[in-house]
Amino acid sequence: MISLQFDECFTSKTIRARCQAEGKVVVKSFPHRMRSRSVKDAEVVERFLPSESSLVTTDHRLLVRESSRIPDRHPGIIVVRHNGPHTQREKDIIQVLENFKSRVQNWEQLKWRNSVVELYQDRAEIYAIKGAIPTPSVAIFFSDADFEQELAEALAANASEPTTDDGT
Amino acid sequence: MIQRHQSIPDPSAPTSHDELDLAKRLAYAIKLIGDSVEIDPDVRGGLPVVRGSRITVSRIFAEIADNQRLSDIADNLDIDRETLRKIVDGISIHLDRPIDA
Repeated sequence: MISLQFDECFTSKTIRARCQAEGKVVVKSFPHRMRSRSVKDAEVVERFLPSESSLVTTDHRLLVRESSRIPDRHPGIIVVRHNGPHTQREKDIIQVLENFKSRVQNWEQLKWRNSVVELYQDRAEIYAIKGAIPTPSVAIFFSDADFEQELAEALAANASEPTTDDGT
Repeated sequence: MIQRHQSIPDPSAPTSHDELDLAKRLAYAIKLIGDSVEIDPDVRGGLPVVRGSRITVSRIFAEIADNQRLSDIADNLDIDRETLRKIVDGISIHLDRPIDA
């Protein structure tokens, strides 16, 4: 079972409870000892990306700001994005996740490793980090007939990047 | 016979008392916001966040606009309720004045 590390800006009791009720992934909440202080963007990257858990966040600027700190090989970053006129709310986050999961039957089996996946209401945009530069792989719309297959292939291609000597 | 006051003050004109009151209110608003909001270029890229978190202030207002109660937002996002109250109260006071266009 894959594990997901929730960034503080992504998580809420409602979202955690829904994920845990599904029982398809291991959910790692934002560490309690890191609460009550505003954790810097660099610390999020440096602390969570060496782990085995894919990072789930709503902080889409993290990819641009901290790309120099993101290694080419990492456990995966899932960014839940929003492109509506209003500011992203919890219901928007849930809607994006529901849309995505409704299009990917076995989403919990996807290989997120080395991919940065930006999930929108209607599409997934996939990047890889190459030499600290976010490099677009593909954008796939939920309405595409082969969405699930194309997504799995794009993720698998990034995940199959050779590992380094230390196994990361 | 009742003596009429020669110069009745224009109620729309600011008086020194009004200005003092406004200055005090603004100072109070700034204190509330300063206590509850943090702006650091290294946290969420400089977006104003709820102090001690990575949750943006804009998210809080978006949830309020979505008919969420402040106490429910605080509970759901695991944020101190009093901190959220200070944000809303501080910004309310800050906006309660004429602002030059």
